[in-house]
Amino acid sequence: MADKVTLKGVKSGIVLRLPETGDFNDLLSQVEEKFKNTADFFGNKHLILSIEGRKLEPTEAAQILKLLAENTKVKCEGVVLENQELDEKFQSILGDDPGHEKELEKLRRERAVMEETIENLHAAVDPANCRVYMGNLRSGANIESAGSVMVIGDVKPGATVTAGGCVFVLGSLQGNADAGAYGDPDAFIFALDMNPIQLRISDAMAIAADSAPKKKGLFNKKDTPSSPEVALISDGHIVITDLDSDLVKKNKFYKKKKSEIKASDTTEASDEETKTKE
Amino acid sequence: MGEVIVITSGKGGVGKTTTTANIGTGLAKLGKKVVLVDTDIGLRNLDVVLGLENRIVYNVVDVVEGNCKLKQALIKDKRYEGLCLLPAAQTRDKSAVTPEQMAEVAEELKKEFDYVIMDSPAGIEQGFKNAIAGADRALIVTTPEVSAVRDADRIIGLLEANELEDVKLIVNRLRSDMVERGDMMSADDVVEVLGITLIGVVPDDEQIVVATNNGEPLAGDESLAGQAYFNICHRIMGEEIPYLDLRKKKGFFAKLFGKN
Repeated sequence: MADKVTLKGVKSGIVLRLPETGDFNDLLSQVEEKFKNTADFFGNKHLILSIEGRKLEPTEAAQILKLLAENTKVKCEGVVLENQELDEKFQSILGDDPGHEKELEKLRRERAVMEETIENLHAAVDPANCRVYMGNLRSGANIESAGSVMVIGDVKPGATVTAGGCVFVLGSLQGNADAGAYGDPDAFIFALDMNPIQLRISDAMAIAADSAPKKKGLFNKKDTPSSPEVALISDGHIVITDLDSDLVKKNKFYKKKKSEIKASDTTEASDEETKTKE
Repeated sequence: MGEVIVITSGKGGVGKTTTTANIGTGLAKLGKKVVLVDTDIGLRNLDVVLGLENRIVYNVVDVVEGNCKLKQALIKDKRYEGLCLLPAAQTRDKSAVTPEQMAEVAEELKKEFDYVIMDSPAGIEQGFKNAIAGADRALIVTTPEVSAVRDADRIIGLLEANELEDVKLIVNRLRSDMVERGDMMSADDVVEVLGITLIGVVPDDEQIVVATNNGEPLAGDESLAGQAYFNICHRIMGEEIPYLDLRKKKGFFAKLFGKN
């Protein structure tokens, strides 16, 4: 019993009990089997899924949710991980309480808000959602996008690039750049020539040094070619580093990207999957 | 309660912004609390001339539209205690603000500062109207050229039509050598044409260009233009200061063989 996968229906949800030990991939095939067998029984109800008996990584939970979505027609309204008082909770929400409809409504609304946030986050990191601008952005020009922004050209002083995700300037950044504008501290700013007036990433902000570096040979062309640089948040402050710095490799945005590429290989990541992942 | 002074010219490129930056710096050096307001929305420069461009977060349009409090938009100059800048927006145009709103902002600033100095844009349209809306006095900047003087004359007329009585003249970029040769109007000639009181004459000085590019106004330093601006500041505060001898820069040989 202990090493077997069990699936049980309660009044308003499914309880999936997993053995504490054992290879996760083996478990997955068992879970898939269970879902297939019970697909007809659960129909297309709106349900909450509880996973018990085993601590799961978010990615593992996501895989289970994907199986649920692929093998049944159940609409999963939420996931509860490793929770003993689950049934009591279901009861308290759905039981005989006359206000349960309201509670449910509240849950749905919260979920909608969360989904929107997740959608924004995904838009921010999705390379397909990158706004590309060709040409120079001159003083007074602003471009903004919920996703990332790529400028193929220079961003002049007085121009501002605002992105929910990252900012890439394939040229000289001499103006203002605002990455992670809706609160993503992992966003970064890339420029072939990093010489900005102001940088903002999420809540952090950095300003150019006061004229000191400008002073020498104000209008002389730089004799050393500039190298590409990345601005990102480290310890709550914005730092500018070379592309191959460890800070860049540690940046969660990179990792996020990688896991996403894996997920999108199998196409159609369901809402539930993204939910657990976040 | 402070005073609102508008610095305007009609013609562009005569040195309104440079004058604003230098007078503001000078007054601050003299211990006054000064705020400079850039009303040139869409073509702001004052922040660059003051070297404060990198500190701009909010601007005057944000204040007017209620996106921030007035205090939040003020940028404190690190070098001179008592000097603040209220920058213009770069992404909008003059129509983003009405004269009434500008007057309101000026009225609010007057409570905190001894001098509120409005840097006017060139022209006589909305931007100009915004700049003069709350002003108690005006300083007209002109260069000793017929075109600039002609525009200054028009501006003085408009200011009078707006019942702004206290209007003084700054003659900028005067070249004493050219005046001596009779190739340029003298400050007195300009005063005669315009018929208003002179408050200062600023010589054409290459140090001004250097100072502007470095974002460090030179009012009060040893350069001739810096002294001229500093004298204007004293006169704004009501002191009687003799005019500078702008021929100071004469070379050694000129001194030996020159007439005086």
